[in-house]
Amino acid sequence: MRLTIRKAASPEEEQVILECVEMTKDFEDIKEYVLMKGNVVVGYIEERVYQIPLSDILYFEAVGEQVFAYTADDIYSIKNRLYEIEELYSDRKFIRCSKSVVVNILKIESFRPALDSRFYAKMKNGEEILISRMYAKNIKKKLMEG
Amino acid sequence: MREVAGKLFSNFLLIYLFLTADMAVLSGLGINPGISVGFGWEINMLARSVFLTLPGLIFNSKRELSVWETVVRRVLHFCIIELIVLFNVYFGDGVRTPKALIIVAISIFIAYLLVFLGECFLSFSEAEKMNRMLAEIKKKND
Repeated sequence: MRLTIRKAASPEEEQVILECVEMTKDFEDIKEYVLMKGNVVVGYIEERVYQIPLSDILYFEAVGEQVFAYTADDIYSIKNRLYEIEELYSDRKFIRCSKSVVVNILKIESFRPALDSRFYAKMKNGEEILISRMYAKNIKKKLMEG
Repeated sequence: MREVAGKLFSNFLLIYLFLTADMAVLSGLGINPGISVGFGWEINMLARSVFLTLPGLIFNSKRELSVWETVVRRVLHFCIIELIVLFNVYFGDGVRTPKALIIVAISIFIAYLLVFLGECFLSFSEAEKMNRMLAEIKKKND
């Protein structure tokens, strides 16, 4: 596989072009990686593929081996692992709030205390997510950083 | 493991400090004039501090607990503290009358409740602070 890098004149012109004979697994992976680095996330509902704007996602949740992205209306299955999502979107106001959930801070409506130094985050759709004691400190730190 | 050990040790030191200070104050006030400071008394304070540090182990679970599990853990924590303190005053201080033991038990309950209410108050003010910071972040990102 050859790799060509060309300099773009402006950030608006930046793009990744994939030239392939057919979409193999490798190319699919590259495509998903590129899309993940942008403002959309590739999600699946059954066999259908969707591009979900990052700003629409309330939180990501790991259930067993599977990771799901929750928007106000739908639940999408995601191919990435939760720790990958946490790393990829940490600069987009996504932060881990428990072992199984990465939450979009901008989609939190308010916080309220729970027992034992834990908190509940009320999301914009009315759902409440538990912030565990272990991750509450990180959330406070992130909030302080702005 | 090291983190848990460090936390337990700092708890032990705090408990030992307050227990010793408490005994000194009681002795000074003449409430418990039987105290005579010496090697035996020191060992007694250290042993009591070790026992009182043990309930803290309950709070060192790494697993994320559900709301009900947290409530059960709280109740268990309180019961263990009650048992340890009552055991201490019964065998250590020779408090044997049921009336005195009931007073001690109620005092522990009140102290536990006050600490719990203090924790709740701190959590509420923490949540308020977080809500203010959240509002600022949202303003910046709008």
